[in-house]
Amino acid sequence: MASFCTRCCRTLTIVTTLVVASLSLALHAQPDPNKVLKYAFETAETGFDPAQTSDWYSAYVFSNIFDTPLTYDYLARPVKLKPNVLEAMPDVSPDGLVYTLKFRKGIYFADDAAFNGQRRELVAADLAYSMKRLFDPKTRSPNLSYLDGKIAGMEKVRQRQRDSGVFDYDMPVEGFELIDRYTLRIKLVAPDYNFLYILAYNGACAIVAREVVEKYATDIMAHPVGTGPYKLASWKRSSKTVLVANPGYREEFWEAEPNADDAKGQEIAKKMRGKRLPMIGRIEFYVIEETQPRWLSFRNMQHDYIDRVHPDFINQAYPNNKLAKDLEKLGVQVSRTAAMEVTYAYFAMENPVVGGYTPDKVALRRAIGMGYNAPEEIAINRKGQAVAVHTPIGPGAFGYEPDFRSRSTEYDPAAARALLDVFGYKDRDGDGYRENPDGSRLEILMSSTPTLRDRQLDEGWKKSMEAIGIRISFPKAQWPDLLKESRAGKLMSWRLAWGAVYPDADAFYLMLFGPNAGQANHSRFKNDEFDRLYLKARMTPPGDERLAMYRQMNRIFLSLAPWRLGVARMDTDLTHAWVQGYQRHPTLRGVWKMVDMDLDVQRKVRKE
Amino acid sequence: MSAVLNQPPSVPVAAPLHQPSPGLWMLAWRRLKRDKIGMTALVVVIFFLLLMAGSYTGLVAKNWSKEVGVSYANPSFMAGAENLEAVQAAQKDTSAKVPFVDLSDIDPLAPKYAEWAKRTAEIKITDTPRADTLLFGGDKWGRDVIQKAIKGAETSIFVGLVAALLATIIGTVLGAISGYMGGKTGDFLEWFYNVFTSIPYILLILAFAAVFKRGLDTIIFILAFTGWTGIYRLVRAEYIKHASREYVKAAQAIGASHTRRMFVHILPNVSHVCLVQLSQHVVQFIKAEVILSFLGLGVPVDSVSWGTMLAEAQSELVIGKWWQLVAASVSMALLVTAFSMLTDSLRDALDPKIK
Repeated sequence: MASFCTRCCRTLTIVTTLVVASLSLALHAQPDPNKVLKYAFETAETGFDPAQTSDWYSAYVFSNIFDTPLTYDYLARPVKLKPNVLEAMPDVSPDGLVYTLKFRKGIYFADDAAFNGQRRELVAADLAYSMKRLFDPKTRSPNLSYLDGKIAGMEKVRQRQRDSGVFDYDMPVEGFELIDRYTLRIKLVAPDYNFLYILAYNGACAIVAREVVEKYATDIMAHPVGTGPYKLASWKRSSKTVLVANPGYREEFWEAEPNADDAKGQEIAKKMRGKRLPMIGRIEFYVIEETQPRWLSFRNMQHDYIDRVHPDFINQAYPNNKLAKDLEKLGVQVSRTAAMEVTYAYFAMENPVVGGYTPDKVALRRAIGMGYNAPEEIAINRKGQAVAVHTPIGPGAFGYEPDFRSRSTEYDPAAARALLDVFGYKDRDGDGYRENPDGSRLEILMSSTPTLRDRQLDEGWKKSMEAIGIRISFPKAQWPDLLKESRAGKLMSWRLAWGAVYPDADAFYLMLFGPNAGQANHSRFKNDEFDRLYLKARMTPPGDERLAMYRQMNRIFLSLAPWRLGVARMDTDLTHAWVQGYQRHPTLRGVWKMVDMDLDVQRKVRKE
Repeated sequence: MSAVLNQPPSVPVAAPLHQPSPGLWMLAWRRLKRDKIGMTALVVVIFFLLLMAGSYTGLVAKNWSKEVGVSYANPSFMAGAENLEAVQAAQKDTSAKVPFVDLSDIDPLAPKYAEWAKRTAEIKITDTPRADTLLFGGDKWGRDVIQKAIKGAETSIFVGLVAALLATIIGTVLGAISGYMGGKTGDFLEWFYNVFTSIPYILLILAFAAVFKRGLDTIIFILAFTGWTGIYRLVRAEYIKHASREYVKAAQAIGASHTRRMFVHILPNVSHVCLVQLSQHVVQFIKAEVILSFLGLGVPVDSVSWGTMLAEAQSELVIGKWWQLVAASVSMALLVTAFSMLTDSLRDALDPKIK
C-alpha cells in the first residue's frame, strides 16, 4: 500500500516537472564551457566501469556519465527514490516478485566510435545486459553480491558458463523478460523490497551499451560511454580526470522536493528550480592524497569544492561547530551531514574467550562495550567530527532513529566494572587485571594495522580497558591480511567501518545475518530470531511493520552485544561562494548536474 | 702502520724500567681527556644514560602516561593562547537524553539486574582535575610532553644500546672466525654475509618487522640481526691481518688454542675497532628505531619512543601544536650528535698511531 501511494506522488512530480519545463523554455541555455568545477579526491579512482569498481571515488566520476533506472530525489530527506530513465516508478507485483520497468523513449547514449556514427538509443535490453555483466566471471565484479541469488534463472546461465566456459549473454533468462523495446520485466527468486534501491545503485545497475563493452573489452575501464549528463574527456590515471557536458543529453530540468522545514533545501530549490541540466560545462577531478595540500588548494581558491574536510583541519574550517570567520567572509557555504555508516569493533562469537551466548560471555562483551570511552574517541581522535551511534544502522538509513539510547552502548565505566564483578571476572593474582571466572588468564586480542590512525584508536582502547581492569593487546598486520583472517574466523576482535550503498537497515543488518558468516558477518553472530526477522523484513514493504522488525532486531543485537558500536563520521563539505545548489546526498554520488556556478561572483571573490 | 703495529701495542716502546707503564686504555683516556669536544659529548651522553636509568627505575617520568592536562595543553610560556582542541574536547554531549531502551524481556543478564545495580552504586569514579597549561605543553590526551620525551628516551636509548651491543658481538664473533680461520669456514661466512648485504637495509628491517611479533625485544633483535654486517667486515679484515703476526705465532708456539689466540691474544688488539663500531651503531640504531616506530612497526601501544612521538607530531604540526615535535627532535638530535662526536673522539683516542 505504502509503495503504491509513493508511486502516485512520483507521477505527480513528473507532471509538475513537465509544466515547469514548458514554462522555462526561454531559459534553455546549454552548459557553459567556461564554468569549470575543480576539486580533489583524497584517494585515487580505479576506473570507470561500474561493474568492475566498488570504490567511492570511481563512482564520484562515473555516476555523472551513466544513468541508473531509478535515482534519488536530490533534497528529500529521508531519501526518496524517483524514476530516472524510466517513465514512472517500476510496477511491482503484489507478491513483490515481479518488477516491470518502462523506459523513456528518446534517450541516447553519448556518441562513440563503437556506434559507427549512428545515434544509439537506450533500450530495455541494455539494463538486462548491464546487470548480467555482473554475473560474468570475466567481469570479476565486486558488486555481484547485490544481485547474486536474486534474479530468477540466472543460476542456469552461470551453470552453463561453468560447463562450457562461455558466459552466454543471449541465453534467455526467466528473470529478464523483454516485453517490448522499452519494457523490461525483472523476476526475482524471492520477494525483496530493497530491490528498488538496487535499481538506483550505480555499482549494480548503471546502464552500459553492449557494443561499447565489446569494442573496448579489457580497456573498458578507460572508455565509459553512457546516457548521463557528462562524458569523459581525458583521464590521467590517479592524477586528473576531466568530464565535459554531454551535448546530446536529454532535456531535463532541475527539480527536487526539499522538506518544508529544510530552510537551506528550500532556498536551493527556489534558486535552481527549472534550470536546464547540466549547467557546468567541465569538471576536473584531481587526486591529492595529502590532507594539507588538499585543504590549501581549496583555501587558496584553486579548487571550488572540498568534500569531507579532514579532522586535522576542522578547526581551520569549522571551529566550534561554526564556519570559520575568514571563510565566512569569502562566502563559503557548508554542507554538513552524518555519513550513512557505522564503525564498530566486533567480537568473534565463536571465539572461546569473547564469544558465546551464555550470560557470563554476554556480560563480558557488554562490560567491554560500556567500558570503552567512545565519547573520548569522538572528542580527541575524531576532533568532534562524528556522532555516536546506538544501533547498527547508519544515520539516514531507513530504521535509524536519532533519539535512541541503550545501556549497552553508553559509556559507563562504573557499570562495566560492576557487571564484571557480578559475573566473577575478578583480579585474583593482584596484577591489576581481571581473570576469567574460572581463574584462567583473560586477555583481549584486538587486531589492528600498523598505521598511526589505528595506533591512536589502540591507545583509546588500551586506556579504557585498563580503567576497568581488562588486559588488551593489539596484534598488528596489514589490512588485506586481516580481512582474509577475519573472514576465516581467526581473529578475536577487530575494528571495521561500513558504509551502506542503499538507505535501508537491511544494508547494515546483513553484517549480523547468520548465513553471511565468513563474508560480511565478521563476528559470525548467529541468532535464529534475528535471522528470521531479517528475511521477513526483506519481504515486507518499507513501513511501520518493517520498522518494528528492525527495532526488535536491534534489541536482540544490543542484548547479546556481538559488537561495540562506534560512530558515524560527520562529513563537512565546503563550496566557494560561486558554487550554487550543492548539498551532500547520503547515497547519490553523481550530483554535479544539479549544481551551477556563478562566474561573476567567482571573478569578484577571487579579485578581493 | 707496520712500524707501530709490529710491537704489541700494550707494551710501550720506551717505557722507563721502574715506572708501571700506562696501558692502552689509560693512554686512550688521557688522549680523550685532552679533547674538549669529546669530553662535552661524553658528559651529554652520560647525562642521557643517567636519565634513562632514572626513568627505568621510576625516579623520573614515572607518571608519563597520566593525563594531567587538557587536550593539547599549552606550554606554560604560552598560557593565554587559544586552544580550540581543548574547548572541543570539553564540550559535553548535548543530544537529547531519552531513556534507555528496555531489553529486560530478552536480556540474558536480566536476572542479575538488581545485583548489578547495587554493585554499580558502590563504585565511585573520580575525575582528576586537568591543568590548562603544562611546562612544555601536552599531547592529544593531555600527557606531559617532557615526561613523554624522557620516557621515550629510555626506550630509544635502551633499544639503541642493546641492539648495538648484540650486533657488535655477532659481527665480532663471526668476523673473528671468518678472518682467523679462512678457508671453507671463511667462505661460508662470506656467503652468509653477502646474503644479508644483497638486500637493501631498510627493506630487510621491514621484512623482519613484518614477520615477527611486536615488542621491544623484537625490535632489538631485528636491528641486531640486520646491523652486524659492517662490523663483521671490519673485524674480519683485522683478523686476517693479525692472524699471521709474530705475537700470534708465538702464542701458537707456547700451545695456545685457536679460541685462546682469537679472543685472548688478537681481540684486545682489534678491540678499538669494535668499540668505535659499537658507538657508531648506537647512533644508527636509535635512528632506525625512530624510523620503525614512525612507520608504525615499532614499539607497542603502551610504551612511547621518540619515533612514535614524531609520528604523532606530523599531524599536530598542521594544527599548530609544535611542542611534541620540538621535544622529541631536540632531545634526539642532542643525543645523536653527542654520541657521534664521542665516537669520533674515541676513534682518535684509541688509535695507537696518534700519541
